[in-house]
Amino acid sequence: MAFEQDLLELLPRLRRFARSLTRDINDADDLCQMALERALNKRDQWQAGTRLDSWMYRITRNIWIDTVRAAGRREHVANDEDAMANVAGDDHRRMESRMELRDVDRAMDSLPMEQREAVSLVLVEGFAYKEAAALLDIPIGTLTSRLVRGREALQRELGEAA
Amino acid sequence: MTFDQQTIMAYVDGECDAVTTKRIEKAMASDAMLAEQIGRERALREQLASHYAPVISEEIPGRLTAMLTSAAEPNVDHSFTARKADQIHAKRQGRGFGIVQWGAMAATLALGIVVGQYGLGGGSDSPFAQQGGALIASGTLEHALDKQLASAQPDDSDYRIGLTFRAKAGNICRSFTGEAVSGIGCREGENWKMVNTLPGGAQGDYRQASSSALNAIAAEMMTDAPVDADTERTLRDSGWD
Repeated sequence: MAFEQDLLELLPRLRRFARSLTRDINDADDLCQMALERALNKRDQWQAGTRLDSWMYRITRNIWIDTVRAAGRREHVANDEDAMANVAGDDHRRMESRMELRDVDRAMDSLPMEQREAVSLVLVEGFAYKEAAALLDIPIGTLTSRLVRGREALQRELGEAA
Repeated sequence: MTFDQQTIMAYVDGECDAVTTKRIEKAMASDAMLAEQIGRERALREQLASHYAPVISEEIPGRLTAMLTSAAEPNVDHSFTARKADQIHAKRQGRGFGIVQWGAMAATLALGIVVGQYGLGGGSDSPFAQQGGALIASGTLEHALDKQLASAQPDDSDYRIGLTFRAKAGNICRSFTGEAVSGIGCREGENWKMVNTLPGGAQGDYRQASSSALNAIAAEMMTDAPVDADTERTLRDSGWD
């Protein structure tokens, strides 16, 4: 059961990756569930000795792309009134912290898919450019230009929010 | 010396070669704007990383871990599948069990197909018997549900036990996969009442389809996560109460 055990150990990272792609906790876990199902079904296609994490990230990312494309892009419009109601009663520092969390989510959500996945893999998951490019099946130059554009957009979004 | 955005980004990401790194660091000492730009990029990286970091220590939902625990995916135990392959093939041939269309299977109950295949005679070859209008486990299936632990599956058993869990009604249910029938049985009195049955499947894809469908159904039925191996043993020893 080493395969399952390895997947189990990967799960926290996969959940984080899924969260940065989908923003919504339930969507993220649905995505993980579909990725695990596909991995278990296609375990014969994983070559022992190669990196399981890259393989799983690739599966997760592919399902995400398919799902988003199939469903049409769903907008997660933040409801600021709800957000304010939720933090009412919190002290000022915690409120600031929560609003910041929402800002990062919102900023990530505003990125086009190809920038979001590049940002997520490199800035959140810590993959090297070479690894991220291989995982996404794109040249390194394409990855870095997506990263530059994604970063600029995030700086803009988060700068405005600050 | 000026650096383009891509080079600055690569520096922050630790992707610059040693020579460029040295040049940037030298320039930063005298170029406040460059230093500020790099500071902003670093801050963004840290902000993103710290925003998503708490996900790592969150408790993982049971529906995900259940897919990976030893009990949850008996169908991907290829050694088991391989050992059984010849025997299964022979049995399937003998019973004339056709290829089932699996596409729409997950959400439907294929009870009729299975019962039609076996009848309700409760004979030694039948996994089911009828009692008071309910379909209950019989023969080797009943024995497997009664005695078999997911953590210690005998090679010669016709069934593999999957998840054991407490249903919303409060009783214990267990999922199982077999060569020609898979399903979920729930404890009612001294019996295992069949709640869901699906045609089983001997070969990898069918077994996986079957088990994935069962896991999805089980996830809907359970109150909490599936029980662990120790609890499963305790439950068995106390008669699945």
